[in-house]
Amino acid sequence: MEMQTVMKAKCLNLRDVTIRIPRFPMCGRNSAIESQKQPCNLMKAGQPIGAELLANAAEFRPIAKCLAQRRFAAHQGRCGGGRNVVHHALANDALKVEDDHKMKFNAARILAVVSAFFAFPALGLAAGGQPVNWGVGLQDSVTPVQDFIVNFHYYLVWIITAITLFVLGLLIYVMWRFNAKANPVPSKTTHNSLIEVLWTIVPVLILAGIAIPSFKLLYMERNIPKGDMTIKVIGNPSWNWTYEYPDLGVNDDKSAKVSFTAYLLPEDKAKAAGVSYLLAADVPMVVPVGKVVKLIVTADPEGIIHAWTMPSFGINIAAIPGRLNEDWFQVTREGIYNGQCSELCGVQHAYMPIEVWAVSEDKYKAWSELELKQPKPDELNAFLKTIRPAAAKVATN
Amino acid sequence: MKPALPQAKKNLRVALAAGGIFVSMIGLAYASVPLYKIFCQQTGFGGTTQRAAKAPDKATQQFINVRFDANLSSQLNWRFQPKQTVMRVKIGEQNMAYFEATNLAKHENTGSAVYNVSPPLAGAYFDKIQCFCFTKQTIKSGESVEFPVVFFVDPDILKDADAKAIDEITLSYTFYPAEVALKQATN
Amino acid sequence: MAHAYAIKDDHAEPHADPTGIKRYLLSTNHKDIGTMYLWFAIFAGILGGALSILMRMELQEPGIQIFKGLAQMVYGVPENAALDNGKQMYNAFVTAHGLIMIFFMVMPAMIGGFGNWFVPLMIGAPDMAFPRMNNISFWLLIPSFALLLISMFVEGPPGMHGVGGGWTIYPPLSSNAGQPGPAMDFAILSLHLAGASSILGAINFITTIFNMRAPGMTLHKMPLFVWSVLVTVFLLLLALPVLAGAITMLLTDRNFGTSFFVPSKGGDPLLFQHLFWFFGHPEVYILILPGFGIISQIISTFSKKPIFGYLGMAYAMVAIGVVGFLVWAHHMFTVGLDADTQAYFTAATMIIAVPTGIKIFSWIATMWGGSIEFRPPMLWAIGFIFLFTVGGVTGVVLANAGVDRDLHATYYVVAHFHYVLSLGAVFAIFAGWYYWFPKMTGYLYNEFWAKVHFWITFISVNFIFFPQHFLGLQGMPRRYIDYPAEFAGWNFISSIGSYFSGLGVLVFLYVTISAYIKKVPAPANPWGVGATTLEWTLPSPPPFHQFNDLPIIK
Repeated sequence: MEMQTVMKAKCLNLRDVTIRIPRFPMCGRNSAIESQKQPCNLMKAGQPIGAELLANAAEFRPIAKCLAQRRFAAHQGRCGGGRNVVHHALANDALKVEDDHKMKFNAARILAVVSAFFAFPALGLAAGGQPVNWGVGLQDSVTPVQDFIVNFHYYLVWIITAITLFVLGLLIYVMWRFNAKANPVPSKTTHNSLIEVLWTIVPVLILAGIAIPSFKLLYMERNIPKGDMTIKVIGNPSWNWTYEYPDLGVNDDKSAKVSFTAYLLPEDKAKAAGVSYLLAADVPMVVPVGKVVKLIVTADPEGIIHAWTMPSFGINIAAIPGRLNEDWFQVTREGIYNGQCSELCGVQHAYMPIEVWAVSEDKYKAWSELELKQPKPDELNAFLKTIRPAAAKVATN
Repeated sequence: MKPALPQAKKNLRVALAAGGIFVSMIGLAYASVPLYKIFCQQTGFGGTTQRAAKAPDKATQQFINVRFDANLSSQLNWRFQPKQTVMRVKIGEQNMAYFEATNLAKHENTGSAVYNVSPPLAGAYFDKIQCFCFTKQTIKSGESVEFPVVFFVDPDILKDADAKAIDEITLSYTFYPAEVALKQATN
Repeated sequence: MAHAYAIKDDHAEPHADPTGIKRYLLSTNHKDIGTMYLWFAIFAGILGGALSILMRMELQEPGIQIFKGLAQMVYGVPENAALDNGKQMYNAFVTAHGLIMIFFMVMPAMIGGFGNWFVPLMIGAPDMAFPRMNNISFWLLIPSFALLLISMFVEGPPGMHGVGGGWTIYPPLSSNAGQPGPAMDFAILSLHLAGASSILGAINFITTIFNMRAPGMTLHKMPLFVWSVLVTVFLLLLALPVLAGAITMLLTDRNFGTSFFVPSKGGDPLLFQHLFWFFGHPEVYILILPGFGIISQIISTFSKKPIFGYLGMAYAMVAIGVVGFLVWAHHMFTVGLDADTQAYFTAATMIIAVPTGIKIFSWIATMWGGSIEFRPPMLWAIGFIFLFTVGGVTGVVLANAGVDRDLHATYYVVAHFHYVLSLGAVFAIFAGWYYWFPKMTGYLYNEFWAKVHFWITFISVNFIFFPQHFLGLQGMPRRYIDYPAEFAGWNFISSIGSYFSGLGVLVFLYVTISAYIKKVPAPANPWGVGATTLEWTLPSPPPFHQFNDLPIIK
């Protein structure tokens, strides 16, 4: 689906820059093609974290700066500008990386092909917001947080794949070189201070290299920015989710005017509608694309713990009785996104899907106006058909 | 080896010491219940609010949003809502907000409320001077009661590197029936 | 009866060895008790494995195929209630599989079985310090296991059977709000008994290792397996009481009106999670540390080299044990902890990778320059090192709170902990089994079929669990009886793999049973010059009472 957002206009001029940034070939949809259409994401697709770190670990600083800018000025027009500068800087550095480390990148590409068999995401298998059969990577990202997670996870996969292959290589080597036939007389070595110090220090350094971006990501996730709107999510003991929009107005008794419960879409209806059974809900939670949505999440006071999980948003937050949690997201692409409850909650645990529609601001407005009138189910369903985002496109590369 | 001490006695000694560790760890598990509460109250961990006698003398010129959220146990036939959804308050300034509960049942009953604030980091800086939490509240059939919450946001929040970025604090209450166990037993 | 062959200070007088059922029922002999532990673990392992294969059959394709019929068959519920009963039954299987494998398979095999057998032998002790207590430890497990099995057939949620709360039994799902029936009480009491058994065992091992070492066997000369058991039992002693406390609170919440975890009465369900994982995280090291010890012995034996970096190896285990108590909330990254807390637990968790790395590299360094013989135990040990590395590095990924929110409670976690436990701990157990089988029974086994067992298992478990990483990355939550069609592909592969691993168990049984039938006598030391620990100085099987004259360690 094509972007209709305000943000697109602000940020589209990034396109030329990002495309030229060297990237790992395995980045799937979160790479060249997609990067043209993901304008205002923080961690631009196509900025491979691994490459950045090869060049300069401090590259994370501008990202954090951009994050800070976005957090406080996201919707005052400064996002695009600030980001632009950052992107040019990143692009220049990255281009330099490509020149300086051409050899390294060739090696990296080979490694990438090998590691595809281990834990790498699919070649364009991931469609937005839904899992894909035979998919091997994280779900395609539609929020800045998930962008960061996806890129950071690539970086981690590189590291862990390298470590695993290193250990495997050592094992194969000792099995070949030091088997009883090849080496009938064993040595008696039991100490080597240098190597013992090395294999303590090097892992510490690797872990430090992981921890720095990891903390950046964590603070980005947990320091909740100024929200454009707040939605209350309640996990019910009858295995469904209630969504309340308190900002859209309250009734005389002060309860939220827009409040509805989303149930599992039964199998026959899901089939008829051509949507995925167990992922689809009967009514969606509708949000405007590009807006920072703050979630406050709890469970029914007499109920049990659930978890509101949306993989393509990078959200998993527990809904606990008698306790309020919060989280946030900002969807950058219109679409239908699905998640599932991810805290064991009893018999129907597998049957409480989560469905979010990110629609344009106009459509959101129309939806909220209708919701405020407390529409009948038929009326609502008919209306929902008119604002339904196009089904996620399956990449073909 | 100390020949003076027979093996059995030595063994008993070690076993008793190990048994002592076991007993003290059991004790620690139980002690963790009050300790966890105290820890949360002291540090604001998990969104536990602070108690204060009065607000600081001088409010800052910085603003912060305070959102109010109410939840109600299905065991309690009440209506319970905050009277205001969001307040924009000066940090350091004393404010008052109201929650309202109405008893819809045909008989009087009693509830008590639990609460937390989010984000959890804000707990250390959200000071309540007066609130209705953890005390039993009895409402007669058909009556409504307004519960005031007198609070201020501690100006120290502006000195906390992480917490100063907080834009909105949500204060959430959940009302439960005060005597569930009793009622179930007598039914 | 028991006193007749209890250990005495004067071990001069000869007496008849007990025979028949009394030899085992009233046994105070560490080797007999160890043998019973191992039989018990094999039995429980087959049962727990059967549960997992039934779950994989259910998950082979989307929809509910097995459990509806199974619930009708087992519980006799009517057709219209069968589907929901089947879903609950699946959750009960998830729970039982976890609890059985942890408390009734891995722990009895490693600590009760190999620990009982070889800790006294390796330190040159005639028996455990408290032989009668040892007997109680074992026999407590039987009623404990029975209680757990009973829990699967009594009411859990209204109108349904079994405990469906997962091995983590978080309230309120495990309290009256979620599962008011007595099934959960049975499970809690089962855990109490299993815990009591382990605590008594732990006290016994600590006393034995501290007090009963042969002259000259200093702590720094102890074989690494003994070190690993020592660290493990200390973890047990420190962690299990916390579980006991937590589940006792849960029990009184459920039955006696206390409100430790009941939010409506001012309790906090999150406190249970803190307490549970304060136990639960050390528990996973309890499961794997003895495996580290076993692997160290085997790698050294078949490389014909002393272990590389002995002290580093021993203290790496101590470090893992200590840090293991400081990382529990990494299981709780999604409950709404603030960023600083999550950052601390991320950092502390990643630190564990350092001592673990030391161990991996020290094993490889032990092999380096060695003269390696690929006998069956060595194959399992090398398989262990590789699989544990894979499980370890995904642990580093999960340690990052920022990424964990995409992976928490997904199949990625399932894959991770099966790589370190199912493939790590279980490979170590099989390695130990094939290493010590001749010593314990006095029979040699068919090495060819033992190698076949290894290869079938090694390949099939990778087929089961590697694709589960992909499922998890794609967002498939764990503990789901049914899943969207989008997850069908890898689930199918995973299920097929599990059937082959079941085949591997049959090969294992064949190897074991055929060894008992053929009775090919084993020499005292079937492994040659590399096997240097004390148990190999004794005949196979060792005499009923060994070391009547304590060996002197130079």
